[in-house]
This record gives sequence, C-alpha cells and structure tokens, in this order.
Amino acid sequence: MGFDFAITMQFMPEILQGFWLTLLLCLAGTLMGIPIAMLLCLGRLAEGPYTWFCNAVTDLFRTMPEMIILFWAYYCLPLVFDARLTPVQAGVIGLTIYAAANLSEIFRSGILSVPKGQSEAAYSVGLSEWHMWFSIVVPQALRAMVAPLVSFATSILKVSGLLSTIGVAEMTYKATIISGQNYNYLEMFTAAGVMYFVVIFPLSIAAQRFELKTSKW
Amino acid sequence: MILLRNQTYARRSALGVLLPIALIILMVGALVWNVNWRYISQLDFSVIIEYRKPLIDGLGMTLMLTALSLAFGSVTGAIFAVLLQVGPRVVRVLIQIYVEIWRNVPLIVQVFWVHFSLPALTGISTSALVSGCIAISLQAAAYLTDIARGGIRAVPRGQFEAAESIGLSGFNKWVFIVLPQAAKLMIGPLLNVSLSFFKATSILGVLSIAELLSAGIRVSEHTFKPIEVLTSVAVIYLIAGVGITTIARKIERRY
Repeated sequence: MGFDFAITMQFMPEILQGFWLTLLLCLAGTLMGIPIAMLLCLGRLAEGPYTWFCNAVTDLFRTMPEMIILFWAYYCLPLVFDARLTPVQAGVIGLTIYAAANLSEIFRSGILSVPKGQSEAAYSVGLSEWHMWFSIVVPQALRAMVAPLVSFATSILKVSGLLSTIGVAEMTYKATIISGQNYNYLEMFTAAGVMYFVVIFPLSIAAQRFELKTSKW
Repeated sequence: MILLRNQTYARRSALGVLLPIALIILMVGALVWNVNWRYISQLDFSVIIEYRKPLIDGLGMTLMLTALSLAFGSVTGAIFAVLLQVGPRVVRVLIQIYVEIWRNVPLIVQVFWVHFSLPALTGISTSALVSGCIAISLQAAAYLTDIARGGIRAVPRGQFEAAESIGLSGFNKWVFIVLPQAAKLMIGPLLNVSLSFFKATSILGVLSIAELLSAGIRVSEHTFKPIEVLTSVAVIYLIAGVGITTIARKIERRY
C-alpha cells in the first residue's frame, strides 16, 4: 500500500478543523494559566508557608504525567464537585493546570535572572513598588523569558494531542476517527504529524535562536 | 514588599504579598466550598489493596519502558552525535532531519503512526507493546542525540588535538577521550530527560499497553471507583517521579 495523496486532500478540511481546535485549546489553556502562574510565581519568590504551598503545587503538577492530570480532570472532577464536564471543558482545565505549573517556573526563573542591583537601584532612587516591578524588573525579566516561553508553546502543543484520549475533537482525535472509519491510517496520521511539525518546528527553531541571543548578554 | 529569596527588601506591602495570598486563599476556599463532601466521605481506598497486582505490574511496565527507551536512546544518541561530527555530509543531514522530525511531533501521533501507519508501508505489523517501545525509543534517540551533541561540543578542542597528537586512532579518540568527558557534561540534561520519558510512558497507554496509567484506568472502570484508583495512581507516579528527581540530584551533585 502506498501513500494516497488524494485521500489526504479529501479529509484535509476535517484535519484542519481539528487543528484550529488544537490551537484554540492551547490558547485557552495558556491564557487561563497565566494569572494562576503569576500568583504561584509571586508565592515562590516570597518566604513562609505561602511559598511552601506554591512550591508544592508547582512541583506536584510538574512531576505528574500530563495524562493523569487530564484523566483526573475528566473522570474525577465531576464526581468531586458534583458537576458535569464536557471533554472540552475537562481538557481545558487540564491544559490550564499544565500551563500554570510550567509558566510559574518560567516566570520565576525569569525574574530571578534580573540582577538584584536593579531592584535595589529602583528603590534607592525612590520608585514605588509598582514602578519597581513594572518599569524595571518585569521588562528585563521578559527578555530572559522569551526563549523558554516559545519552547513552552511547543510543549503545550504537544501536550494538547493527549486531549484526544478523553475525546476532545482536536487534530489527533480527528485523525484517529477518520482513519478508523476509512482504514487510511498512513495518510491521516502522516497528515496530522506534518501539521504538528509545521507549527512546532518553526517555534523550536525560534526558541533556539532566542536562546543564543540571550546567552550572549 | 515581597521578600525575594535572593533579593531581600526591607518593607512588605499589599501588592507583593497580601494580594496574592488573599487571591490564593479565595481560590482554594471556593474549590473546597464546592466539593461534594458527602461523596468524598464515602471513598473507599481498600480497592487499591484488592487490585494491587495489576497496579504493581503496571508500575513495573512503566519503569521497564523508561529504562528501555533511555538505554536505546543513549546508545543511539551517542552514535548519532559522533556521526554528526565526523560523518559524511549526507549522513549528517539525514540525522539532523531525523532528530527534528522526532523532536517536533507529539509522541501520541508518533505512537499511532508506528502502530497503524508503518505496517501499511512495510507490511510488517507489530504488537502494541513492540510499537510502543519502538516509538518511545526512537523519540528518546532523537532527544539524546541533541543532548550528546551539546556534550561533545562542550569538550575542549585541546582534548581532540591531544588525542590526535599522541597518535590515537579515531575510534580510541572518541571512546576513551571525548565521550567520557562529554558524558560527564551530559548527566544533568540526561536526568531531566529521564523524568520526562518516565512521564511520557503514560502516553503509550493509548495502545492499551498495560502500563501504570492504563492499568489504573482499567481497574477504575472495573470497580467504578475512579477517584480512589486514579488518585492512588497519581500518588504512585508522584512518588516514583520524586524518587527519580532525588536520585538525579544526588548523581548530579556527585559529578
């Protein structure tokens, strides 16, 4: 059996539909994860029981496989909270948790990469705390965070493929379903793989470039 | 003011400390408030004891898959990384393409591709376990090639020149001079990758390989006790993951 290009083209619209959902879910997870990540990051930079709590939460969700976060969200959350969750909702919750834990680590290392002298200088010239954060520390931290953020984008895209296991109709799921119905496994999974590659590859190249750029400073 | 660990300031204020604490307490409080405590109080964790056999087998399978992928990956990775330095141009380009493809496509797609699509190309169909092993090993090889390349690049040029100047053959130069030094530099990233492959083995469950997660899901579907079983599986993963991280930190500190 060879590769049938016509079949690939025939089902491409559906694959692309799944692809949009993949992007949308990643975006939703990231956007919801950012505020939580900021809270966790502030907690991890402080001292006391609050720090301990935030460290524990971050390490917990970074050490656990992403699959178990998703399955827990899908099978257990509805029972715990006595609510109904569609696969998409459970998936977004899972991605949010993943994003929050990983982004908080990126934010933290970004802020810690700003030399201590910068914030001390800001204080010594009498800037308010707000100014110290948003005019001095955060802009410099952002520069250090660009490369890890781009590689975070690649990893959340890869994780989003796992949502197919709980029945979210994103790209991997579409490929699984279509190929299961038409026995064109080769074409569909190749198409899905190529689509992922087309998005993830430029991002990881960009991440490498940014890393080289920042390491020069 | 927030007290940063290596940036200690004199004052504390609402923005840095009180607001985040208040928000986190609110969030946690809202979650706790909405928990269905009647259901939670009926949880019965004795199922874990009853069904310990499949779970322990699953953990064994998970650890086996992790070890296999890392063993295959580090050998292949080392060979590929050396070839990237000394091989002919065609080989180098091919290895580069291989590494980029396997690094930039999600493992779940690769697993499906190896299991369902590869037989359509080659005509040889593999069992779920074999396909899973192939997919995760090939991905490990790609990641470890990258790490090994970084390690080899970090070995000082002088070492290569010294090996050549005392007349060592190419093989001896790589095996006795360069690779041992590169290996020392690679330990840190290698241990990080070992944790991520430990996590990634859970993805092989999609082919119904009986590793820890899919064993847990099967048990939970059989007993209708998802919270007990999945939470315990999560705890097992956590303990094993923390174990790997702790060992990794110890080894890293030693070298």
